[in-house]
Amino acid sequence: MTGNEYCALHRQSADKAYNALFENYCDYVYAIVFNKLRSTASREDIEECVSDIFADIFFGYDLNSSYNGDMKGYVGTVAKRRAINAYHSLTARSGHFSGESDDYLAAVSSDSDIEADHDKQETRTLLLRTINELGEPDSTIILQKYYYDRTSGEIAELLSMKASAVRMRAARALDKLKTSLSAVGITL
Amino acid sequence: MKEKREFEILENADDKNIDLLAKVPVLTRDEKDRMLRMSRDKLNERTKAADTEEQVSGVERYSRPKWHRFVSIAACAALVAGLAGTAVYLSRGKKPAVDDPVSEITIPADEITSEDTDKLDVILKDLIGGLNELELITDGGGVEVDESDRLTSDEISPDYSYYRVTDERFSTVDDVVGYFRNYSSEQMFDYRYAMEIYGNSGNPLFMESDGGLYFNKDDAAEERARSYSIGSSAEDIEAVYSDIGAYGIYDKAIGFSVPAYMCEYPCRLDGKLILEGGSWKIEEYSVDYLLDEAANNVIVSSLLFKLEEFDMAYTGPGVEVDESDLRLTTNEGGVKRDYYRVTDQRFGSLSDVKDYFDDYFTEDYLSINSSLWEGYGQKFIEADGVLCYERANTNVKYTYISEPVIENADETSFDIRIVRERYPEGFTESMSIRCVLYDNRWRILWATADNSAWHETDYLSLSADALKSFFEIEAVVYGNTLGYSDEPLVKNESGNELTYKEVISDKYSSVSDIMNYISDNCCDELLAHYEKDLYVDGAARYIEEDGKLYALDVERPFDKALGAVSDYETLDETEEDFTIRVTPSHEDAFYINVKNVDGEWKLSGCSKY
Repeated sequence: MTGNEYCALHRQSADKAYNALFENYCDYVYAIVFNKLRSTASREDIEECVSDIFADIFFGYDLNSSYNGDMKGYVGTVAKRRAINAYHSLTARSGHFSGESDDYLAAVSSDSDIEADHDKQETRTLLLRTINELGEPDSTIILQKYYYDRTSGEIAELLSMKASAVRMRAARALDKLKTSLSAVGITL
Repeated sequence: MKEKREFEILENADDKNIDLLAKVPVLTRDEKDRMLRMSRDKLNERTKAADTEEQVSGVERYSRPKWHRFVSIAACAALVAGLAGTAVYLSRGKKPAVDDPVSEITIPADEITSEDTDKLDVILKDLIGGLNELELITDGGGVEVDESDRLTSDEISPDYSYYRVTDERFSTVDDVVGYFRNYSSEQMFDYRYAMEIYGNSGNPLFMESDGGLYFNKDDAAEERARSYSIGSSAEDIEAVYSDIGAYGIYDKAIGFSVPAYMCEYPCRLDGKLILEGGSWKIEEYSVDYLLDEAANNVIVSSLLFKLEEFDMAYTGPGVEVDESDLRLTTNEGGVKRDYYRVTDQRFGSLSDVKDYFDDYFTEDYLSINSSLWEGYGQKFIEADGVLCYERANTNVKYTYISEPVIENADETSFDIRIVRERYPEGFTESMSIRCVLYDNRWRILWATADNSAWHETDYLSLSADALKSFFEIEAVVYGNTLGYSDEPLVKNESGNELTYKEVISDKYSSVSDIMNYISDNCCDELLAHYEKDLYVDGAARYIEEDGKLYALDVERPFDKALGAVSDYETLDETEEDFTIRVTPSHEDAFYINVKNVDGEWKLSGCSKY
């Protein structure tokens, strides 16, 4: 959705604009927030953060703007900022300072870990590519179960499958994934 | 949990990887609606605050909601301890089905002899029975609870029902884990059950609170489980060990292949047992629905039979009615429908119709084909409380004429390819049927018919039949090819003298014979045209007298033999109609139109263009 499209829709109906923006970017925002808060926040916290982000955008976007580009960049920036704030807020309250926090501070303070970061990104990319190569629905099941922490029942409902079938597929897919990854030197 | 830690590498991903993760469908409609609602509420609050000129800080304080984590971390630690190598046995409560067979087999897998396989059969039966229970518990059933003691608080989503466990097997989450580990290996527990038992951050299967254990019960779980049992009764199972080594022994594990039942479907259960912590556990298993024997497979045959029944009810004379008991006539959009009282034993009411097919088709399929019982053009209808059916004026029937072939099979879906023939047209259709395992039953998701081959072959045979009828009718109406006697019959009509000759024909002995032949082979509009042409200047071409058929003695230029030497081809073929282009030698081409009327192909027109 472009900025102009959003503004034009907003002129017709604010509700329609909010709904359209949300539908367009909800999955993207959720992915950003979850990726940051996965190890520190509950599902409800994550939902709260996502709703804060959209409230920010609904409230803060300049409707007189003549920006005609994709709003994804703007949405992504607001989402990342909010997610990082939420992360620090949560970790500060729990008195917990994780490795991720250390990485973040180190990254802010110096560029000495750029190479390590680059390696990690390469590994992530390889992992995701290998997961993708499992094909559907296994790749979706693997990420939903082991990354997004969804139960078999929840996954089953989303994919119109039986929970036991999801578990079966997840177990097999994980085996396959481990085999594929070990062939490229990655151990899960 | 091991798997969760592995995927931590995906955290703090870059934009490219975030984009990939964003493509995974994870949010339900309810979750999205909830977050959108929350966003709108927050927007309203901010707008109100802005309107009252309260300054909203550019950096919002993140106020953590009231949700809190459950005992997952503590439970995680217990699991780690439990995996340290010590076997976890059930120490109280329900005993296994067989009196502790575990202790009878303590030798390593590679030392098992034939005398031990009987004992292994017992173990396998017990483990499979346990597996059923683990699946039931994981689905939210099979645990005794006190439904008057429900855990409620702001921290628990109203979507979940946590009741205090009264089941003597479980007092703590540790007990649950121990029970599960009685039947499943460490790997199987981690892969299949750990996530469910501990939950992620909000909805574990079990939770400890107020000194008690609570269970997230699903009322529908027991209903589902009644039809879901891997394995037949203990007495019927006879384990067949896979042929890897003497008894399928490999890598300190034993493979097994067991005849089993999934609901009423015979299948085979394949898996692996390992000796872990001194006792045998299931390491993995899979269900094979024996689809390689498609022709004898009860799943395949029952689905094909139901599809045939459904199509017959939808398009043909598939429902018994009392044809003398017309109960209702409707006229929708100019289309008249007559509904007769249903006498078919399968259906007593409108809801019976859907229920009858409910177990064999998915909701999607039934929804797409719901005009069988509702909506415009519905075939079944209730009139004054009586179930009625629109008796089709066709006799369309389907017959499968090939063996079913199974493709793309896995544990939860497969495709059937089969050929069926449609009567009375006689054309064949290559069917492709997608079947899925949903809610413990195999169901048809969609079915398509590819009759493109029909377009190449059957049109030709239809054309041949149509041309034969066309030339016959033309000859009767305009030709002079019927046999005649020499004795004329002279009639005087309105002052005109008309001469008739007696028709000598095996085919036509009355005017109605001729009319019936024409009407059987022509659409109404063409029939009207021929009826008109059966009069010449007001005089009928055919009359009957003294039980004999006479033909008007007039010039009849049409040469039926023309049809025998004509070349022809079919054009513009559709399922509704097509055109035959006839090219007689030494004459200009002409066109004959053929139309499908309620399943019968009839002549509908003839023209030079």
